[in-house]
Amino acid sequence: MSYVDGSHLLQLSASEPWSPNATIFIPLESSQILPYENSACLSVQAFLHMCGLKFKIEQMANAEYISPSRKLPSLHCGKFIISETTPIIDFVNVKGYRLDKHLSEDDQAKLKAYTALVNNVLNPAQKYIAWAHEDTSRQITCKRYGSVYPWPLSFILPLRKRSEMLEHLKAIGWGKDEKSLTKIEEEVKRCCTALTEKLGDQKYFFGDSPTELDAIVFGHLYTILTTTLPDNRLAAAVQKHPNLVKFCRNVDKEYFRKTAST
Amino acid sequence: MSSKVKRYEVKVWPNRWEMLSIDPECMALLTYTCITHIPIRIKECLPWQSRSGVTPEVETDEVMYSGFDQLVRFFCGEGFNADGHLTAEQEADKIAFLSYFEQQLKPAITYTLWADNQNYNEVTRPAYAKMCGFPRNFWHPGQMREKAIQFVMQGKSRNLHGKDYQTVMLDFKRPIYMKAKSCMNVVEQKLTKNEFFFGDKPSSLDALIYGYLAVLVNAPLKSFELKHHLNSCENLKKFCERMNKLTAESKNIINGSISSTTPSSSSVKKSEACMKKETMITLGIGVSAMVLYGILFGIFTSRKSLLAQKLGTVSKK
Repeated sequence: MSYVDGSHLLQLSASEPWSPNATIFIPLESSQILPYENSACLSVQAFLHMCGLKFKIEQMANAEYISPSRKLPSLHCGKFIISETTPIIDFVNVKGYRLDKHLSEDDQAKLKAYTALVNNVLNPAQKYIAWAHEDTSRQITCKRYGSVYPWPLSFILPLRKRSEMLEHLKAIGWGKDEKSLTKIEEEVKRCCTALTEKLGDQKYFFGDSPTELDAIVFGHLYTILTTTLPDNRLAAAVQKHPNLVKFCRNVDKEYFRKTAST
Repeated sequence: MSSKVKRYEVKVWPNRWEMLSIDPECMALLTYTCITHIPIRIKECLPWQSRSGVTPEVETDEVMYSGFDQLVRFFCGEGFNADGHLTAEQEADKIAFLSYFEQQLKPAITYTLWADNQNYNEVTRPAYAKMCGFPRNFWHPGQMREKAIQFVMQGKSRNLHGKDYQTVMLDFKRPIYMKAKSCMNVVEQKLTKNEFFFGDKPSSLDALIYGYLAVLVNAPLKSFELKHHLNSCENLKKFCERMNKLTAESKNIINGSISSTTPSSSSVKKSEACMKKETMITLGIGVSAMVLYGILFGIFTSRKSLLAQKLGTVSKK
Protein backbone atom coordinates (compact mmCIF):
# COMPACT_ATOMS: atom_id res chain seq x y z
CA MET A 1 0.00 0.00 0.00
CA SER A 2 1.58 3.27 -0.96
CA TYR A 3 0.89 6.63 0.55
CA VAL A 4 -0.14 9.18 -2.08
CA ASP A 5 1.95 12.10 -1.06
CA GLY A 6 3.42 14.08 -3.92
CA SER A 7 2.05 14.78 -7.34
CA HIS A 8 4.31 12.17 -8.96
CA LEU A 9 2.59 9.40 -7.03
CA LEU A 10 -0.78 10.95 -7.88
CA GLN A 11 -0.05 10.42 -11.58
CA LEU A 12 0.75 6.75 -10.88
CA SER A 13 -2.71 6.24 -9.43
CA ALA A 14 -4.41 7.58 -12.58
CA SER A 15 -4.13 4.28 -14.44
CA GLU A 16 -5.97 2.32 -11.75
CA PRO A 17 -9.79 2.30 -11.94
CA TRP A 18 -11.94 3.19 -8.96
CA SER A 19 -12.14 0.22 -6.65
CA PRO A 20 -15.70 -0.88 -5.72
CA ASN A 21 -14.35 -1.75 -2.26
CA ALA A 22 -13.10 1.78 -1.63
CA THR A 23 -13.41 2.53 2.08
CA ILE A 24 -13.38 5.73 4.06
CA PHE A 25 -12.08 5.43 7.63
CA ILE A 26 -13.63 7.80 10.14
CA PRO A 27 -13.69 7.92 13.96
CA LEU A 28 -16.74 6.70 15.86
CA GLU A 29 -19.53 9.07 14.90
CA SER A 30 -21.62 8.90 18.02
CA SER A 31 -18.93 9.20 20.68
CA GLN A 32 -15.53 10.19 19.29
CA ILE A 33 -15.58 12.34 16.16
CA LEU A 34 -14.92 16.07 16.61
CA PRO A 35 -16.80 18.82 14.71
CA TYR A 36 -13.98 19.82 12.36
CA GLU A 37 -13.23 16.15 11.60
CA ASN A 38 -16.92 15.56 10.90
CA SER A 39 -16.88 18.49 8.43
CA ALA A 40 -14.01 16.93 6.48
CA CYS A 41 -15.57 13.45 6.49
CA LEU A 42 -18.96 14.76 5.35
CA SER A 43 -17.31 16.87 2.61
CA VAL A 44 -15.55 13.80 1.20
CA GLN A 45 -18.70 11.67 1.39
CA ALA A 46 -20.76 14.38 -0.34
CA PHE A 47 -18.11 14.70 -3.05
CA LEU A 48 -18.02 10.97 -3.74
CA HIS A 49 -21.83 10.82 -3.84
CA MET A 50 -21.88 13.74 -6.27
CA CYS A 51 -19.37 11.91 -8.49
CA GLY A 52 -21.59 8.83 -8.38
CA LEU A 53 -18.84 6.65 -6.88
CA LYS A 54 -19.57 3.72 -4.60
CA PHE A 55 -17.72 3.47 -1.31
CA LYS A 56 -18.02 2.04 2.21
CA ILE A 57 -17.63 3.79 5.53
CA GLU A 58 -15.79 2.14 8.39
CA GLN A 59 -15.89 3.66 11.83
CA MET A 60 -12.65 2.92 13.67
CA ALA A 61 -11.49 4.22 17.03
CA ASN A 62 -7.92 4.47 15.68
CA ALA A 63 -8.89 6.18 12.40
CA GLU A 64 -6.48 9.05 13.22
CA TYR A 65 -3.56 6.58 13.34
CA ILE A 66 -4.63 4.75 10.15
CA SER A 67 -4.31 8.03 8.29
CA PRO A 68 -0.72 8.61 7.02
CA SER A 69 -0.79 12.32 7.87
CA ARG A 70 -2.88 11.81 11.08
CA LYS A 71 -5.61 13.94 9.56
CA LEU A 72 -9.08 12.74 8.70
CA PRO A 73 -10.69 11.26 6.74
CA SER A 74 -8.57 8.67 4.98
CA LEU A 75 -9.60 6.82 1.85
CA HIS A 76 -8.36 3.35 0.96
CA CYS A 77 -8.82 2.67 -2.74
CA GLY A 78 -7.05 -0.22 -4.47
CA LYS A 79 -3.36 -0.01 -3.61
CA PHE A 80 -3.47 3.57 -2.35
CA ILE A 81 -4.35 5.27 0.89
CA ILE A 82 -4.95 9.02 0.87
CA SER A 83 -5.84 11.37 3.70
CA GLU A 84 -7.39 14.85 3.93
CA THR A 85 -10.10 16.39 1.77
CA THR A 86 -8.02 18.19 -0.88
CA PRO A 87 -5.70 15.26 -1.71
CA ILE A 88 -8.72 12.91 -1.89
CA ILE A 89 -10.48 15.27 -4.33
CA ASP A 90 -7.26 15.50 -6.41
CA PHE A 91 -6.98 11.69 -6.35
CA VAL A 92 -10.54 11.28 -7.62
CA ASN A 93 -10.00 13.99 -10.27
CA VAL A 94 -6.89 12.26 -11.60
CA LYS A 95 -8.95 9.08 -12.09
CA GLY A 96 -11.17 11.07 -14.47
CA TYR A 97 -14.09 11.91 -12.17
CA ARG A 98 -14.39 15.71 -12.17
CA LEU A 99 -17.27 17.97 -11.19
CA ASP A 100 -15.80 21.16 -12.67
CA LYS A 101 -15.74 20.16 -16.37
CA HIS A 102 -18.65 22.47 -17.19
CA LEU A 103 -16.97 25.54 -15.65
CA SER A 104 -15.28 28.33 -17.62
CA GLU A 105 -11.71 29.36 -16.75
CA ASP A 106 -13.03 32.32 -14.81
CA ASP A 107 -15.40 30.11 -12.80
CA GLN A 108 -12.65 27.58 -12.12
CA ALA A 109 -10.55 30.38 -10.60
CA LYS A 110 -13.56 31.44 -8.48
CA LEU A 111 -14.04 27.80 -7.42
CA LYS A 112 -10.45 27.68 -6.12
CA ALA A 113 -10.92 31.04 -4.39
CA TYR A 114 -14.14 30.10 -2.59
CA THR A 115 -12.68 26.72 -1.59
CA ALA A 116 -9.70 28.57 -0.13
CA LEU A 117 -12.08 30.94 1.70
CA VAL A 118 -13.95 28.05 3.34
CA ASN A 119 -10.73 26.20 4.25
CA ASN A 120 -9.09 29.37 5.55
CA VAL A 121 -12.00 30.54 7.70
CA LEU A 122 -14.44 27.79 8.67
CA ASN A 123 -11.82 25.08 9.26
CA PRO A 124 -9.58 27.01 11.69
CA ALA A 125 -12.67 28.57 13.34
CA GLN A 126 -14.03 25.11 14.20
CA LYS A 127 -10.61 23.95 15.42
CA TYR A 128 -10.29 27.08 17.59
CA ILE A 129 -13.69 26.52 19.17
CA ALA A 130 -12.97 22.83 19.72
CA TRP A 131 -9.56 23.22 21.35
CA ALA A 132 -8.82 26.85 22.30
CA HIS A 133 -12.24 27.72 23.77
CA GLU A 134 -12.00 26.63 27.41
CA ASP A 135 -15.60 25.52 27.96
CA THR A 136 -15.94 23.52 24.74
CA SER A 137 -12.52 21.96 25.14
CA ARG A 138 -13.16 20.84 28.71
CA GLN A 139 -16.78 19.80 28.41
CA ILE A 140 -16.86 18.23 24.96
CA THR A 141 -13.63 17.91 22.97
CA CYS A 142 -11.30 16.33 25.52
CA LYS A 143 -14.01 13.93 26.70
CA ARG A 144 -14.86 12.81 23.18
CA TYR A 145 -11.22 12.50 22.14
CA GLY A 146 -10.35 10.41 25.20
CA SER A 147 -13.56 8.33 25.25
CA VAL A 148 -12.04 5.39 23.33
CA TYR A 149 -9.02 4.96 25.62
CA PRO A 150 -8.77 3.46 29.11
CA TRP A 151 -7.64 5.57 32.05
CA PRO A 152 -4.96 7.11 32.30
CA LEU A 153 -4.69 7.46 28.48
CA SER A 154 -8.15 9.04 28.41
CA PHE A 155 -6.66 11.84 30.54
CA ILE A 156 -3.16 12.17 29.04
CA LEU A 157 -3.83 11.86 25.28
CA PRO A 158 -6.44 14.67 25.05
CA LEU A 159 -4.02 17.03 26.86
CA ARG A 160 -1.23 16.12 24.45
CA LYS A 161 -3.52 16.59 21.45
CA ARG A 162 -4.71 19.92 22.85
CA SER A 163 -1.18 21.32 23.15
CA GLU A 164 -0.42 20.07 19.61
CA MET A 165 -3.53 21.78 18.23
CA LEU A 166 -2.86 25.03 20.10
CA GLU A 167 0.65 25.07 18.61
CA HIS A 168 -0.80 24.46 15.14
CA LEU A 169 -3.36 27.25 15.60
CA LYS A 170 -0.64 29.63 16.80
CA ALA A 171 1.54 28.77 13.78
CA ILE A 172 -1.26 29.60 11.31
CA GLY A 173 -2.09 32.88 13.08
CA TRP A 174 -5.22 31.63 14.91
CA GLY A 175 -3.68 31.42 18.36
CA LYS A 176 -5.39 32.62 21.56
CA ASP A 177 -3.27 35.82 21.47
CA GLU A 178 -4.18 36.71 17.90
CA LYS A 179 -7.87 35.76 17.77
CA SER A 180 -10.84 35.96 20.09
CA LEU A 181 -14.31 34.47 19.72
CA THR A 182 -15.65 37.87 18.67
CA LYS A 183 -13.08 38.23 15.88
CA ILE A 184 -13.76 34.67 14.73
CA GLU A 185 -17.51 35.30 14.69
CA GLU A 186 -16.91 38.40 12.53
CA GLU A 187 -14.78 36.43 10.07
CA VAL A 188 -17.34 33.62 9.85
CA LYS A 189 -20.11 36.17 9.25
CA ARG A 190 -18.04 37.74 6.47
CA CYS A 191 -17.44 34.30 4.96
CA CYS A 192 -21.16 33.44 5.11
CA THR A 193 -22.05 36.78 3.49
CA ALA A 194 -19.69 36.04 0.59
CA LEU A 195 -21.09 32.49 0.23
CA THR A 196 -24.69 33.74 0.33
CA GLU A 197 -23.94 36.30 -2.35
CA LYS A 198 -22.28 33.64 -4.51
CA LEU A 199 -25.09 31.09 -4.03
CA GLY A 200 -27.93 33.57 -4.52
CA ASP A 201 -31.09 31.70 -5.58
CA GLN A 202 -29.24 28.95 -7.41
CA LYS A 203 -29.45 25.30 -6.47
CA TYR A 204 -25.65 24.98 -6.30
CA PHE A 205 -22.84 27.52 -6.26
CA PHE A 206 -22.13 27.23 -9.98
CA GLY A 207 -25.57 26.64 -11.47
CA ASP A 208 -27.56 23.41 -11.57
CA SER A 209 -24.67 20.95 -11.29
CA PRO A 210 -22.77 20.48 -8.04
CA THR A 211 -19.02 21.01 -7.79
CA GLU A 212 -16.45 20.23 -5.11
CA LEU A 213 -17.17 23.63 -3.54
CA ASP A 214 -20.73 22.49 -2.84
CA ALA A 215 -19.41 19.33 -1.17
CA ILE A 216 -16.92 21.24 1.00
CA VAL A 217 -19.38 23.99 1.98
CA PHE A 218 -22.05 21.37 2.79
CA GLY A 219 -19.65 19.44 5.04
CA HIS A 220 -18.77 22.54 7.09
CA LEU A 221 -22.18 24.22 7.27
CA TYR A 222 -24.12 21.02 8.01
CA THR A 223 -21.77 20.22 10.90
CA ILE A 224 -21.98 23.77 12.28
CA LEU A 225 -25.79 23.73 12.08
CA THR A 226 -26.27 20.28 13.61
CA THR A 227 -23.66 20.32 16.40
CA THR A 228 -24.71 21.67 19.79
CA LEU A 229 -21.84 23.32 21.65
CA PRO A 230 -21.60 25.42 24.83
CA ASP A 231 -21.07 28.42 22.54
CA ASN A 232 -23.32 28.25 19.46
CA ARG A 233 -22.47 31.58 17.87
CA LEU A 234 -21.23 29.98 14.63
CA ALA A 235 -24.55 28.19 14.13
CA ALA A 236 -26.41 31.44 14.85
CA ALA A 237 -24.24 33.22 12.24
CA VAL A 238 -25.01 30.60 9.58
CA GLN A 239 -28.74 30.51 10.38
CA LYS A 240 -29.02 34.19 9.48
CA HIS A 241 -28.59 33.12 5.82
CA PRO A 242 -31.71 31.13 4.85
CA ASN A 243 -30.40 30.24 1.39
CA LEU A 244 -27.36 28.51 2.93
CA VAL A 245 -29.62 26.53 5.29
CA LYS A 246 -31.85 25.57 2.34
CA PHE A 247 -28.74 24.53 0.38
CA CYS A 248 -27.64 22.17 3.19
CA ARG A 249 -31.12 20.64 3.40
CA ASN A 250 -31.17 20.08 -0.39
CA VAL A 251 -27.78 18.40 -0.52
CA ASP A 252 -28.64 16.22 2.46
CA LYS A 253 -31.92 15.16 0.84
CA GLU A 254 -30.41 14.64 -2.61
CA TYR A 255 -27.21 12.79 -1.74
CA PHE A 256 -27.51 11.36 1.73
CA ARG A 257 -31.10 10.39 2.44
CA LYS A 258 -31.64 9.14 -1.12
CA THR A 259 -28.50 6.98 -0.97
CA ALA A 260 -29.47 5.69 2.45
CA SER A 261 -32.87 4.60 1.22
CA THR A 262 -31.55 2.77 -1.91
CA MET B 1 -1.32 73.56 4.09
CA SER B 2 -0.46 69.96 4.93
CA SER B 3 -0.87 70.69 8.65
CA LYS B 4 -4.63 71.37 8.09
CA VAL B 5 -5.19 67.94 6.44
CA LYS B 6 -5.48 65.11 8.97
CA ARG B 7 -2.56 62.77 8.36
CA TYR B 8 -2.69 59.21 9.58
CA GLU B 9 0.54 57.97 11.08
CA VAL B 10 1.23 54.52 9.65
CA LYS B 11 3.87 52.48 11.43
CA VAL B 12 5.61 50.07 9.08
CA TRP B 13 8.84 48.14 8.71
CA PRO B 14 11.55 50.35 7.18
CA ASN B 15 12.06 50.50 3.42
CA ARG B 16 14.61 48.39 1.61
CA TRP B 17 15.34 47.31 -1.96
CA GLU B 18 13.51 50.31 -3.46
CA MET B 19 10.20 49.28 -1.91
CA LEU B 20 8.15 51.39 0.47
CA SER B 21 8.59 48.73 3.12
CA ILE B 22 10.49 45.44 3.33
CA ASP B 23 7.50 43.54 4.80
CA PRO B 24 4.87 42.27 2.27
CA GLU B 25 1.88 43.15 4.50
CA CYS B 26 3.19 46.68 5.18
CA MET B 27 3.90 47.04 1.46
CA ALA B 28 0.31 45.96 0.65
CA LEU B 29 -1.10 48.55 3.06
CA LEU B 30 1.10 51.37 1.73
CA THR B 31 0.04 50.42 -1.81
CA TYR B 32 -3.58 50.69 -0.65
CA THR B 33 -2.92 54.17 0.74
CA CYS B 34 -1.34 55.13 -2.60
CA ILE B 35 -4.39 53.86 -4.52
CA THR B 36 -6.88 55.73 -2.32
CA HIS B 37 -4.68 58.84 -1.84
CA ILE B 38 -4.97 58.67 1.94
CA PRO B 39 -2.87 61.48 3.52
CA ILE B 40 -0.40 59.54 5.63
CA ARG B 41 2.84 60.01 7.44
CA ILE B 42 5.06 56.94 7.32
CA LYS B 43 6.75 56.17 10.61
CA GLU B 44 9.43 53.57 10.10
CA CYS B 45 9.64 51.46 13.18
CA LEU B 46 10.19 47.91 14.26
CA PRO B 47 7.32 45.75 15.60
CA TRP B 48 8.46 45.89 19.23
CA GLN B 49 8.40 49.69 19.03
CA SER B 50 4.71 49.70 18.03
CA ARG B 51 1.91 49.56 20.58
CA SER B 52 0.34 46.30 19.48
CA GLY B 53 3.63 44.58 18.57
CA VAL B 54 2.39 44.05 14.99
CA THR B 55 3.06 46.14 11.92
CA PRO B 56 1.44 47.69 9.94
CA GLU B 57 -0.27 49.75 12.65
CA VAL B 58 -2.28 52.97 12.82
CA GLU B 59 -3.05 54.63 16.12
CA THR B 60 -5.98 57.02 16.40
CA ASP B 61 -7.07 58.87 19.56
CA GLU B 62 -9.17 56.02 20.85
CA VAL B 63 -8.12 52.79 19.20
CA MET B 64 -5.21 50.96 17.62
CA TYR B 65 -5.61 49.08 14.34
CA SER B 66 -3.08 46.59 13.02
CA GLY B 67 -2.82 44.14 10.15
CA PHE B 68 -3.79 44.68 6.51
CA ASP B 69 -7.44 43.49 6.82
CA GLN B 70 -8.29 45.55 9.87
CA LEU B 71 -6.59 48.68 8.50
CA VAL B 72 -8.36 48.45 5.11
CA ARG B 73 -11.70 48.24 6.95
CA PHE B 74 -10.70 51.20 9.15
CA PHE B 75 -9.77 53.34 6.15
CA CYS B 76 -13.04 52.32 4.40
CA GLY B 77 -14.87 53.59 7.46
CA GLU B 78 -12.95 56.87 7.24
CA GLY B 79 -14.15 57.31 3.66
CA PHE B 80 -11.10 55.97 1.77
CA ASN B 81 -12.65 53.02 -0.04
CA ALA B 82 -10.84 51.54 -3.03
CA ASP B 83 -13.60 48.95 -3.51
CA GLY B 84 -16.51 51.32 -3.97
CA HIS B 85 -16.74 50.54 -7.69
CA LEU B 86 -17.25 46.79 -7.11
CA THR B 87 -20.64 45.10 -7.53
CA ALA B 88 -22.03 42.89 -4.76
CA GLU B 89 -20.85 39.79 -6.66
CA GLN B 90 -17.36 41.24 -7.11
CA GLU B 91 -17.28 42.18 -3.42
CA ALA B 92 -17.99 38.51 -2.51
CA ASP B 93 -15.37 37.34 -5.03
CA LYS B 94 -12.90 39.80 -3.50
CA ILE B 95 -13.32 38.26 -0.04
CA ALA B 96 -12.79 34.79 -1.53
CA PHE B 97 -9.73 35.81 -3.51
CA LEU B 98 -8.18 37.58 -0.50
CA SER B 99 -8.28 34.22 1.32
CA TYR B 100 -7.03 32.43 -1.79
CA PHE B 101 -3.94 34.62 -2.12
CA GLU B 102 -3.23 34.40 1.58
CA GLN B 103 -3.41 30.61 1.37
CA GLN B 104 -1.43 30.17 -1.86
CA LEU B 105 0.99 33.09 -2.23
CA LYS B 106 1.88 33.97 1.35
CA PRO B 107 3.46 30.58 2.26
CA ALA B 108 5.55 30.62 -0.93
CA ILE B 109 6.83 34.18 -0.38
CA THR B 110 7.55 33.35 3.27
CA TYR B 111 9.41 30.20 2.20
CA THR B 112 11.46 32.09 -0.43
CA LEU B 113 12.54 34.76 2.04
CA TRP B 114 12.96 32.78 5.24
CA ALA B 115 13.12 29.03 4.73
CA ASP B 116 15.29 28.90 1.63
CA ASN B 117 18.84 28.70 3.07
CA GLN B 118 20.61 30.65 0.33
CA ASN B 119 18.13 33.52 0.32
CA TYR B 120 17.98 33.68 4.11
CA ASN B 121 21.75 33.71 4.68
CA GLU B 122 22.67 36.07 1.86
CA VAL B 123 19.67 38.37 1.53
CA THR B 124 17.04 38.31 4.27
CA ARG B 125 19.14 37.93 7.41
CA PRO B 126 21.63 40.74 6.57
CA ALA B 127 18.78 43.10 5.63
CA TYR B 128 16.75 42.46 8.79
CA ALA B 129 19.81 42.34 11.05
CA LYS B 130 20.84 45.81 9.87
CA MET B 131 17.35 47.12 10.62
CA CYS B 132 17.17 45.50 14.07
CA GLY B 133 20.44 47.07 15.21
CA PHE B 134 22.81 45.87 17.95
CA PRO B 135 22.26 43.63 19.93
CA ARG B 136 18.95 42.35 18.48
CA ASN B 137 20.65 41.59 15.17
CA PHE B 138 22.11 38.48 16.83
CA TRP B 139 18.89 36.77 17.70
CA HIS B 140 15.86 38.54 16.23
CA PRO B 141 16.23 37.44 12.57
CA GLY B 142 16.64 33.85 13.83
CA GLN B 143 13.45 34.19 15.88
CA MET B 144 11.59 35.56 12.88
CA ARG B 145 12.90 32.68 10.79
CA GLU B 146 11.65 30.11 13.30
CA LYS B 147 8.20 31.75 13.31
CA ALA B 148 8.13 31.84 9.48
CA ILE B 149 9.07 28.16 9.24
CA GLN B 150 6.36 27.28 11.79
CA PHE B 151 3.87 29.14 9.59
CA VAL B 152 5.02 27.35 6.42
CA MET B 153 4.94 23.93 8.08
CA GLN B 154 1.73 24.80 9.97
CA GLY B 155 3.13 23.94 13.36
CA LYS B 156 4.59 20.55 12.42
CA SER B 157 8.29 21.47 12.62
CA ARG B 158 9.05 19.40 15.72
CA ASN B 159 7.77 16.20 14.15
CA LEU B 160 10.49 15.32 11.66
CA HIS B 161 9.79 11.56 11.50
CA GLY B 162 13.51 10.82 11.61
CA LYS B 163 14.27 12.73 8.41
CA ASP B 164 16.81 15.53 8.45
CA TYR B 165 15.69 19.16 8.45
CA GLN B 166 16.74 19.87 4.84
CA THR B 167 14.73 16.94 3.43
CA VAL B 168 11.63 17.95 5.38
CA MET B 169 11.85 21.54 4.12
CA LEU B 170 12.29 20.35 0.51
CA ASP B 171 9.20 18.13 0.92
CA PHE B 172 7.24 21.24 1.80
CA LYS B 173 8.81 23.37 -0.93
CA ARG B 174 7.44 21.44 -3.91
CA PRO B 175 3.67 21.69 -3.18
CA ILE B 176 4.00 25.26 -1.83
CA TYR B 177 5.75 26.47 -5.00
CA MET B 178 3.29 24.58 -7.21
CA LYS B 179 0.36 26.29 -5.49
CA ALA B 180 2.02 29.72 -5.82
CA LYS B 181 2.67 29.17 -9.53
CA SER B 182 -0.92 28.09 -10.18
CA CYS B 183 -2.08 31.13 -8.19
CA MET B 184 0.09 33.45 -10.33
CA ASN B 185 -1.38 31.75 -13.44
CA VAL B 186 -4.90 32.58 -12.19
CA VAL B 187 -3.97 36.27 -11.84
CA GLU B 188 -2.22 36.19 -15.21
CA GLN B 189 -5.38 34.85 -16.83
CA LYS B 190 -7.55 37.49 -15.09
CA LEU B 191 -5.27 40.28 -16.28
CA THR B 192 -5.57 39.37 -19.99
CA LYS B 193 -8.82 41.34 -20.22
CA ASN B 194 -8.31 44.00 -17.51
CA GLU B 195 -5.62 46.32 -16.25
CA PHE B 196 -6.43 45.39 -12.67
CA PHE B 197 -8.12 42.39 -11.09
CA PHE B 198 -11.65 43.82 -11.19
CA GLY B 199 -11.52 46.08 -14.23
CA ASP B 200 -9.87 49.40 -14.89
CA LYS B 201 -9.58 50.65 -11.34
CA PRO B 202 -7.32 49.11 -8.69
CA SER B 203 -8.87 47.60 -5.55
CA SER B 204 -7.63 46.36 -2.19
CA LEU B 205 -7.06 42.95 -3.80
CA ASP B 206 -4.57 44.50 -6.27
CA ALA B 207 -2.80 46.12 -3.32
CA LEU B 208 -2.46 42.76 -1.58
CA ILE B 209 -1.23 40.94 -4.71
CA TYR B 210 1.34 43.67 -5.36
CA GLY B 211 2.39 43.62 -1.70
CA TYR B 212 3.38 39.96 -2.03
CA LEU B 213 4.84 40.16 -5.56
CA ALA B 214 6.86 43.34 -4.93
CA VAL B 215 9.28 41.31 -2.83
CA LEU B 216 9.83 38.88 -5.71
CA VAL B 217 10.36 41.73 -8.16
CA ASN B 218 12.65 43.96 -6.07
CA ALA B 219 14.56 41.80 -3.60
CA PRO B 220 18.02 40.62 -4.78
CA LEU B 221 17.13 36.95 -4.31
CA LYS B 222 19.79 34.31 -4.90
CA SER B 223 17.47 31.38 -5.58
CA PHE B 224 14.75 32.63 -7.83
CA GLU B 225 12.46 29.84 -9.00
CA LEU B 226 9.35 31.92 -8.25
CA LYS B 227 10.87 35.05 -9.76
CA HIS B 228 11.48 33.15 -13.02
CA HIS B 229 7.85 32.07 -13.08
CA LEU B 230 6.74 35.66 -12.46
CA ASN B 231 8.96 36.87 -15.32
CA SER B 232 7.36 34.33 -17.65
CA CYS B 233 3.89 35.88 -17.03
CA GLU B 234 3.70 38.94 -19.29
CA ASN B 235 0.49 40.41 -17.89
CA LEU B 236 1.68 39.96 -14.33
CA LYS B 237 4.96 41.75 -15.11
CA LYS B 238 3.07 44.68 -16.68
CA PHE B 239 0.73 44.76 -13.65
CA CYS B 240 3.73 44.95 -11.28
CA GLU B 241 5.25 47.76 -13.38
CA ARG B 242 1.94 49.63 -13.31
CA MET B 243 1.63 49.28 -9.52
CA ASN B 244 5.30 50.19 -9.09
CA LYS B 245 4.74 53.40 -11.06
CA LEU B 246 1.64 54.19 -8.97
CA THR B 247 3.49 53.71 -5.67
CA ALA B 248 6.61 55.56 -6.94
CA GLU B 249 4.50 58.63 -7.79
CA SER B 250 2.93 58.59 -4.35
CA LYS B 251 6.30 57.85 -2.72
CA ASN B 252 7.58 61.25 -3.91
CA ILE B 253 4.61 62.94 -2.31
CA ILE B 254 5.03 60.96 0.92
CA ASN B 255 8.80 61.58 0.99
CA GLY B 256 8.12 65.25 0.43
CA SER B 257 5.76 65.31 3.40
CA ILE B 258 8.28 63.50 5.62
CA SER B 259 11.00 66.09 5.03
CA SER B 260 8.71 69.08 5.52
CA THR B 261 6.91 68.15 8.75
CA THR B 262 9.05 68.12 11.86
CA PRO B 263 7.01 65.59 13.90
CA SER B 264 7.93 62.74 11.56
CA SER B 265 11.65 63.58 11.45
CA SER B 266 11.64 63.64 15.25
CA SER B 267 9.94 60.24 15.25
CA VAL B 268 12.71 58.87 13.00
CA LYS B 269 15.21 60.32 15.48
CA LYS B 270 13.22 58.67 18.30
CA SER B 271 13.63 55.20 16.81
CA GLU B 272 17.38 55.81 16.33
CA ALA B 273 17.61 57.03 19.93
CA CYS B 274 15.84 53.84 21.00
CA MET B 275 18.47 51.71 19.24
CA LYS B 276 21.31 53.77 20.74
CA LYS B 277 19.76 53.32 24.19
CA GLU B 278 19.67 49.54 23.66
CA THR B 279 23.30 49.55 22.51
CA MET B 280 24.37 51.58 25.56
CA ILE B 281 22.49 49.29 27.92
CA THR B 282 24.07 46.18 26.38
CA LEU B 283 27.58 47.65 26.51
CA GLY B 284 26.93 48.77 30.07
CA ILE B 285 25.87 45.27 31.12
CA GLY B 286 28.91 43.75 29.38
CA VAL B 287 31.39 46.12 31.02
CA SER B 288 29.84 45.75 34.51
CA ALA B 289 29.96 41.94 34.16
CA MET B 290 33.68 42.11 33.33
CA VAL B 291 34.44 44.48 36.22
CA LEU B 292 32.48 42.29 38.67
CA TYR B 293 34.39 39.21 37.48
CA GLY B 294 37.65 41.14 37.99
CA ILE B 295 36.71 42.16 41.53
CA LEU B 296 35.45 38.70 42.57
CA PHE B 297 38.49 36.81 41.25
CA GLY B 298 41.02 39.34 42.55
CA ILE B 299 42.27 40.45 39.15
CA PHE B 300 42.43 44.08 40.40
CA THR B 301 43.84 43.33 43.84
CA SER B 302 45.88 40.11 43.75
CA ARG B 303 49.69 40.29 44.11
CA LYS B 304 50.12 37.83 41.23
CA SER B 305 48.05 40.01 38.86
CA LEU B 306 50.07 42.02 36.32
CA LEU B 307 47.11 44.38 35.81
CA ALA B 308 46.93 45.16 39.51
CA GLN B 309 50.66 45.87 39.58
CA LYS B 310 50.41 48.20 36.61
CA LEU B 311 47.41 50.01 38.08
CA GLY B 312 49.03 50.14 41.51
CA THR B 313 46.03 48.53 43.18
CA VAL B 314 47.75 45.52 44.75
CA SER B 315 46.27 44.82 48.20
CA LYS B 316 48.68 45.09 51.10
CA LYS B 317 47.53 41.89 52.95
